[in-house]
Amino acid sequence: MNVAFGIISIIISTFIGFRLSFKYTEKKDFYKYYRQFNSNLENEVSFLNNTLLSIIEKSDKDIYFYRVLEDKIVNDKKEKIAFLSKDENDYFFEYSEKVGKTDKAGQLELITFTKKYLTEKYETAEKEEKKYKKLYIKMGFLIGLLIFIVII
Amino acid sequence: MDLSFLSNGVLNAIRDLLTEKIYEIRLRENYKITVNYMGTRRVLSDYICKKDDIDFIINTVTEKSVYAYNDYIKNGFITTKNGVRIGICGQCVYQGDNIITIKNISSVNIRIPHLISGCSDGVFSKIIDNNSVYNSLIIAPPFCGKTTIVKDLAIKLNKSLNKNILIIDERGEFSVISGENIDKISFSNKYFAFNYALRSMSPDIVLTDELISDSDWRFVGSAISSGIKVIATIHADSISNLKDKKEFIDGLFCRYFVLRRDSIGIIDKTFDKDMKEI
Repeated sequence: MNVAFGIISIIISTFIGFRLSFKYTEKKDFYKYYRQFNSNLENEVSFLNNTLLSIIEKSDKDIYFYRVLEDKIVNDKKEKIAFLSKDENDYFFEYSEKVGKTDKAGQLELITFTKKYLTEKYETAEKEEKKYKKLYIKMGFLIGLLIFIVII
Repeated sequence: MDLSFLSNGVLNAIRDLLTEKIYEIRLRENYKITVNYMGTRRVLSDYICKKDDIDFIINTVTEKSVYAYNDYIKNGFITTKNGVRIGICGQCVYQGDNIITIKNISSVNIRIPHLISGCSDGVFSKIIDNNSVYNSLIIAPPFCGKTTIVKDLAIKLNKSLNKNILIIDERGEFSVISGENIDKISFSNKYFAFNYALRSMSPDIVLTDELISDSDWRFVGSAISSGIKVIATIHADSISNLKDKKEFIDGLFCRYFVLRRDSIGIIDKTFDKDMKEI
């Protein structure tokens, strides 16, 4: 019986560790799609001239980033994104305020500037995910193991 | 008419007016709203227009994408999907000799189009020539109903003549006009429309708004000499004023219609090819 409880506690605590590391994956994915959107926008602004609303409308709403973007730009919602820091939230908010508001040259300037920022952010998020995901899962497993030993 | 591109403040200010009788709404930052209501200018006393109201209109009409509408903005107007033309004023930004955009928009003039069925009856009866039309020019200062007449004329010609009609709609004001004989080239300049669309669409009749420059007159002259019938409009307040224009080419049109200044879409005088009143 104790062994079964011990195994269950290892599974649960490992899962908790995995869940805690999830915010790093969310953050990495957020910046991945943010970067993708910004690059697509460069193409749209330079050549296709589709409006922001039509780009957002056609985007995949199963992806969290596009849902948030729609909330900010279309619905004017100002909620913070939980897994981003204050500065990162502020930057995204400012971007969503500026995007679409100026002429082609102004938009291309914003896109180019944001591109550099997003590359840095994505690379950092990717590194953090690799580092902390393993760490949290290992810690979860070790805590579960500790509980297992104590129970036995 | 859908006016949902106006902010709540402006919508509230015009709530007591009948939308179908509003011809024009003018918003100037920090000033009261003025409207042209059934041809009469009225100042709405209860609301001061804010920058946010103007920004809201620009954002809504451009679908939050100024960059996508910049080609129109730099020409001083945007047209909504249902043909409402919004003239804009602000700071022009230059690159070399060319305006690249207008920023800090401080006032807008919203011209609400109207379809007045039958308003072209007077013109229509005088331009029909057997199974075709006379080359005709409608003359009036701004805001006397030239475009409204041309719209109604397009619908009538579509129904009554079995001819291909091409509408050159430079500012998207004819968006609501369609018909089985009507082709429409929208947001195109006259150069493209006359050089390419005439060749590709081979129309029998061309309807075009506002001849402005020398080149506009040359394009029309070239179309007429190719056997295409042209009905056009021009800003002028009389036949003598038209003759004084340096770009005017005598003998192109067979009918000239001068509209009354004090009303919308009513013919004051009609002239023949030799500019004699008929």
